[in-house]
Amino acid sequence: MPKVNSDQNNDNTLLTVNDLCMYFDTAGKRVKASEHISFDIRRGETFGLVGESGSGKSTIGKCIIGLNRPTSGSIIFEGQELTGIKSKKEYIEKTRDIQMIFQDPMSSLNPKKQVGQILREALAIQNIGSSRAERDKLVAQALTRVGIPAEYAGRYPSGFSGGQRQRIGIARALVGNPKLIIADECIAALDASVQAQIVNMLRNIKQETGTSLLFISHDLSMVRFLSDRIGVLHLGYLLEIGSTEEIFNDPIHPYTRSLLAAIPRINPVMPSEQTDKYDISSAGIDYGLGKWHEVSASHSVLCTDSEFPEWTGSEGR
Amino acid sequence: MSDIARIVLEVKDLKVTFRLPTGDVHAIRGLDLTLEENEVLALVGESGSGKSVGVKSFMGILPDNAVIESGEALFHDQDQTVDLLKMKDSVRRKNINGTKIAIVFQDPMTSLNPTMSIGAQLITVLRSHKKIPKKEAYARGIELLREVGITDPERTMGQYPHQLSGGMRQRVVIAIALSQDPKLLICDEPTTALDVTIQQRILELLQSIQRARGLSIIFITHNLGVVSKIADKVAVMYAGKVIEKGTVFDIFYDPRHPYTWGLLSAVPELSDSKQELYSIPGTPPDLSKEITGDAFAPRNPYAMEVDFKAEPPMFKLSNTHYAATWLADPRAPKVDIPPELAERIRKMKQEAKDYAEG
Repeated sequence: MPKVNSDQNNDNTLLTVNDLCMYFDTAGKRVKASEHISFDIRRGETFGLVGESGSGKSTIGKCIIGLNRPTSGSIIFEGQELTGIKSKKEYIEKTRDIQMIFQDPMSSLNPKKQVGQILREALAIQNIGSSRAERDKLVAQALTRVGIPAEYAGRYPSGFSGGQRQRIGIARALVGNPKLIIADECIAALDASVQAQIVNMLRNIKQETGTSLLFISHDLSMVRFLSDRIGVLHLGYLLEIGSTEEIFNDPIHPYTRSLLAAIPRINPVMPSEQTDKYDISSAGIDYGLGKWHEVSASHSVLCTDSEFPEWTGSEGR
Repeated sequence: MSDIARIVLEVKDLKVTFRLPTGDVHAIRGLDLTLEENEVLALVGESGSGKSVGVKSFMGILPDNAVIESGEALFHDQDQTVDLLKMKDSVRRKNINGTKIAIVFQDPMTSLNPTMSIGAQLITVLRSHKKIPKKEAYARGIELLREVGITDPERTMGQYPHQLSGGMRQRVVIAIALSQDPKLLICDEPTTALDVTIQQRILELLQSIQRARGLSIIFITHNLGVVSKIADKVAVMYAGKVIEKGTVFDIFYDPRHPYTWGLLSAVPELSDSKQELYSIPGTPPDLSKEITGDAFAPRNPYAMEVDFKAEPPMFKLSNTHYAATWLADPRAPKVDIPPELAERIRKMKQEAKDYAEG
């Protein structure tokens, strides 16, 4: 079983995902979306999950929030085991402190409900606030925090721009003061300048409230900006995990390197680095054979015993 | 006349209005574009700036509630010049769209027919303008798939879109776009839906095809990293107009319009810096309302009194570089580019210099 720097005895750990497998059986074919995923998220930390589409990023988020039922493995939140819970009610009860921000701010808000209603509903589901007045106060606070004037609570989602709607989506996640927010590609649908606003806001919120954030994205520069630690996913496998500095300054896995090299540089003269073209079939790496190897106390890579010296040795770097 | 002969497309003073129940929205407010042969022109700007609408108007694929108020779009092909805006839809479909001008959209899944094999789609397109034997069309289809970097074209011909990855699908779309040997290729956010590694490969593919065929490309994107990689010239759009244009070096090394400064500053840097990301304050203007002065003025920290009163003309800064900002007027006080951006440009130039020196 892979072990990824998880210090489960540590009070500081908020969420532990251990050896999580998520397989989907469709039309006689088994799709392995997540393969033996292990990581943890500490209190107040932003953990970034990066990978291309189809790498299983969203599946992991959905498993945590209970939208997918994992095939095997365990998810421990606040010391409580979440996998195996049969009743939906109990699951909601135990994951009350986990909230989610979705990718598309157009489809994730009910167009027939006022913004205030949408947020109050989130509070009601989480059993927070005893009176309407108390809930209204929390709603006003959450809206103000995301930069939407509280008096707009009576408006409908259609009256807001895409960026504003995503702010409302964030307010809905925030309103119950959760311990963990899962943000799944929450800026992918927005313009660059609006992306910057939202990402700045997420970082400020995290600093003010101490919420942990699982930031799922394919945008490496944004992941770098927000995250304290990063996990790199490919084809359902977590390949490398480390602090943001370690992943960006000292990537070990050839896939991580190819991902970093592919980021278009904002410079008309520089060609992007072409040396690190990565193709799983020609690279000859079988992820299934890999074991976790420690590069440092906080930095690990999935590889075989012979790959490890090759990748970390002088010839590989 | 050699200058004129090299121009493929000239869009002049294009104005497009959308008629909505709530009133008119002036999406394009006087668009001017020039595209030369064998050139990649990037159109950049926020959503709603009119990048796609501009292109759709001369392709004749605007929605029914859009009205072209004025302007012309002159397309020069060999010795002929036609105004695409004045052309009948039926003529345009027969003689221009797909044959002289082809377009690649953002989402390859919606531009391909999910119920037809790749081969059937390619063959249909190949035989649609000129009746060639099926066998010949098949051979040509294989050739095209090979040109777009598909290694096993025979197999791909028999596959359906859902059996291909996003990158492969976009390659097929490009193959179809190239099938009639167009002169001008329009790429509307072709890599936005793809991951960075796939994006890089598609960009390289487009670049090599462009060079090999001598194509002209209009590349619509909001990703400045992509622009810096693929473009020869850049036109920055804001509120339905081009507000700065120049070579890729003009725009990235010597930007002059405060909006361009904002766009460049908003790109997160891949350095260790963890300071706040820059974002342009405010929101784009409401195009259903009358705009006086510079449309960017309310969001422009460098706006002067004149910006709220009169619309700036396009100032010529060099033979290649133009900017529509009063800051470029000789009477304007000297305003320095934001120091953070100046530092970034200094780094970019240094990096380029180091690279050139090996």
